[in-house]
Parts: sequence; structure tokens; C-alpha cells
Amino acid sequence: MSSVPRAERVHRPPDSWTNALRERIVSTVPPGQALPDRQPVYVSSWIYVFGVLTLAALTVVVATGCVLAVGGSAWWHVSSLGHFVNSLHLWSVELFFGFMVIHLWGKFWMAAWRGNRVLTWVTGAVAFLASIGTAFTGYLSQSNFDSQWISAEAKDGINSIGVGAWFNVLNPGQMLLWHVVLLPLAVGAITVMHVVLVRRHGVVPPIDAEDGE
Amino acid sequence: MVQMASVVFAPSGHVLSWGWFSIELANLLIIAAMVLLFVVALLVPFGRRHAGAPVGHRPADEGGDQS
Ligand code: HEM
Repeated sequence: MSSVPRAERVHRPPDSWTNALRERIVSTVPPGQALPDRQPVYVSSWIYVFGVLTLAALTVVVATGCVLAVGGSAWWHVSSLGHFVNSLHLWSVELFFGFMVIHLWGKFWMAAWRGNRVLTWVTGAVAFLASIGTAFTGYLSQSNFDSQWISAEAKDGINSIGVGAWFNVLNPGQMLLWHVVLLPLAVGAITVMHVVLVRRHGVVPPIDAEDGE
Repeated sequence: MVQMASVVFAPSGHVLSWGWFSIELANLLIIAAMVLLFVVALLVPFGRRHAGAPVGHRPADEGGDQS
């Protein structure tokens, strides 16, 4: 601390919230680990690619969802370009879930919560649950007979757990807003936390190499 | 009633049943494909440098990206 120049100390007292926040941001991930260009040799396996494949699929989901929001339901039901973007949205969601579940299997069988990585696992699990909610409200937002049918079936389940008054699956406006605003924000935020945690702790060593931790 | 229900569900795909357990064929095939992809990801070697080879031969730490 004594090496800090005098002027610096005068302008930025150590107890300012700016300083505290900067320290917090800088120390969240070890130096050089935010975007590393090298990884331990055990990361050289296809199973480690599934996290980033999930991320890539999620990016396509969000981008195509934004295009659907610009055009609106009348557009995606009648125009061929609308159909195409709608299909991109659906199929990138299918890939997103496929990649995510294979990623989950991989992390489960390598017990990737070892070495203080519990929060990485937990944020992953929460991302999974939030994604399921986003997909379900997506099915309710199709604005066709399919979504009408699904909502009529879903209301009994939702009512049976006692939340139908607040989360009304028969209300397409509410479901659309959960689908395009609240749940994507939740999935996005939890995904950012998940990836930052991965960078913070580094990739977990294989089980038989654990004393290297 | 039963007949009506079967009319309503008629367009949904082939359903396989074993006792209490039943699953739509398409869903079973997708699960099988995912398990296969999982196994392939574990078995197929990754990249040019394989297990055993040193991590190395990259340009020195700074300015590594010269592509
Ligand atoms: C939105 C969905 C998800 C995204 C975008 C995502 C992304 C990632 C990425 C990019 C990594 C880096 C390492 C790798 O890919 O192997 C990672 C690691 C990890 N993921 Fe996920 N993930 C998601 C869902 C999940 C789920 C559902 C779980 C399990 C419940 C999970 C558990 C983990 C764990 C434990 C690690 C740390 C592995 C380690 O330290 O080696 N993730 N994730």
C-alpha cells in the first residue's frame, strides 16, 4: 500500500464505493483468467465443448427471438420469412436443450462441483430450471390452437400448486411478457454468473488428478 | 368418451409402451441420439494435440494471437 502514489490516495480514498466496486470486479476472476488462451491438457476433449455450444445456441435463440419480437405474431404466422425465423428460434432452442443436457451429464459424471465449485453447479441447475420455464411460456406464446390447448391443460397443474392467481397460463399477454422479458433476463443473468464462476475457479481437474488442485 | 379421446390424440406419433412405461418414438430416438453424442464426445480425440503430447508450442505468452 505504501507504494501507492500520494496523489492517487488523495483522489481516490480507499473507502469510496468506486474503489470497493473496482476491487470487487478486478478480484472476481484471477488476473488473465477472464479470457484465457490456454487450458490444462485434460480440457482437450469434446465433452468440454458442450458448455460453449450451449452458449452459442442460446445466442441464436435470443437473436431470433428479437427478430420475432420486431415482426410480431401476424408476421411469423403468415410470411415465409417469418416462418423461417420462427423455425430458427424453435430449432436453436432444441439444440440449446440438447447441448445443455449433455453438458449436465458430462459435469455430473466428472463431479465438477469438486474444489469449491458448488455454486457453478447450482447456477447451472438454476439456468436449466429457468430455461424450462422460458420454453414452456414460449409454447404458450405461439398464438395458435396448440398454445390454446396447452394453456388449458397447464392451468390445472398451475392451479393445483396454488399459484394460478398470480401466474395465469390462460392469459396470453402475461405469458408472452414472461417469455420475452422476465425469464430471458433471468436465464441471461444466471448464465453470466455461471460462466464468470467457471472462469473464477478454472476447469475442474479430472477425478484421478485431484491433488493438483 | 374413450373414442373421442382417441380421435383427439390420433395425430400424435407412435407411442411405445412397456407396462406402466410409455414413450413417444420420436422422443425415444432423440434421447438415444443424445446418449450417442455423449459417448462420441468422450471417445473421439479432440484437436491436433492429443493426450500425452505437451500443451505447448504456442508463441510466447504475450501477443499469442497472430492468425
Ligand atoms: C444456460 C445453460 C448453460 C450454459 C450456457 C453453460 C455454460 C458453461 C460453460 C461455457 C462452461 C465452461 C466449461 C465447459 O463447457 O465444460 C460451463 C461449466 C460448467 N457447467 Fe455449465 N452451462 C449451462 C448449464 C449447466 C447445467 C444445467 C449444469 C449442471 C447442473 C452446469 C454445470 C456446470 C459445471 C459444474 C461447470 C464447471 C466445470 C468445471 O469447472 O470444469 N451447467 N458451463
